[in-house]
Amino acid sequence: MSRQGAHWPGDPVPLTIAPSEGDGASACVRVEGELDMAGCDAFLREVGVTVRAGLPLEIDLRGLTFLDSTGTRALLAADRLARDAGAADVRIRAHPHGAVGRVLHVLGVVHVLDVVDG
Amino acid sequence: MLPPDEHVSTAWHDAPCRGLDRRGEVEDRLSVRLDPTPLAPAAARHALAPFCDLLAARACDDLRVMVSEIVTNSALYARVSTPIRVDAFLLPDEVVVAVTDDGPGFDPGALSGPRPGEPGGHGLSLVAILASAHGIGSRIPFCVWFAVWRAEAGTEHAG
Repeated sequence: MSRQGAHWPGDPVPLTIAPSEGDGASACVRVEGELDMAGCDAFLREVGVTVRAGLPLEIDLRGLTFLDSTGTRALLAADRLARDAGAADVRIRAHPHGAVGRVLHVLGVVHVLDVVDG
Repeated sequence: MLPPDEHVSTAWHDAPCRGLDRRGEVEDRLSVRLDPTPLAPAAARHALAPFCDLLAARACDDLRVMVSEIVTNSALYARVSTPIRVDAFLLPDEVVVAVTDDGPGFDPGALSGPRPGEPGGHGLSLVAILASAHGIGSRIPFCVWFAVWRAEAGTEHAG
């Protein structure tokens, strides 16, 4: 990742977004690292190319170490995007404890999206 | 998890930055200037790592979220030409983080609490929920600050 400006204090934890090995019965997007405003567009693009009409989509956040409200908003957008594209279901897999699970709970996302324990 | 909703205020009020208010007790201080780009939140988290390492795990997680929320707002609304300034103050019992930019700030009265499923406006409410104290330190330039306890509060455990 290129450094932006002279004030950058160090390299960030990289964000990895990739289609996951599927079993053919669902489409999967795996997100690892830190999801904030810098990675939301790439995440939504990956959801867009991975989703398959008629198949459930799983968004695997078990490798995610950081999520903020901007990243959470991207999860809500991904859910809508996938359902609009015909996904049979959208499931988010995340560890219930730790930094990511805490934000999902505090923002009430667990009541809106289908979040399952990793 | 969090205290019941009725006990959580998501309001922001004018309040002197506690790091400056208690300047005589400051054990250590960090200051970093960040270009207002999408990389600024990650840079702010990285810059605060030395203080994060001194906190309980939950407090460290919360501090990282809170500084990201505020710096994200600054990166969205501050002028492109002027850096975002992040100051962190290590006090005996808490860490205080102040974020200053030259943007227009926000009207506290216009903020509402998080509404599940509705996008927008959640970041500052999230800070207000997670912080042990928070406030608008100054209007010109616009500075918001929050504090987090250094020791784990109460018997709350991870999760």
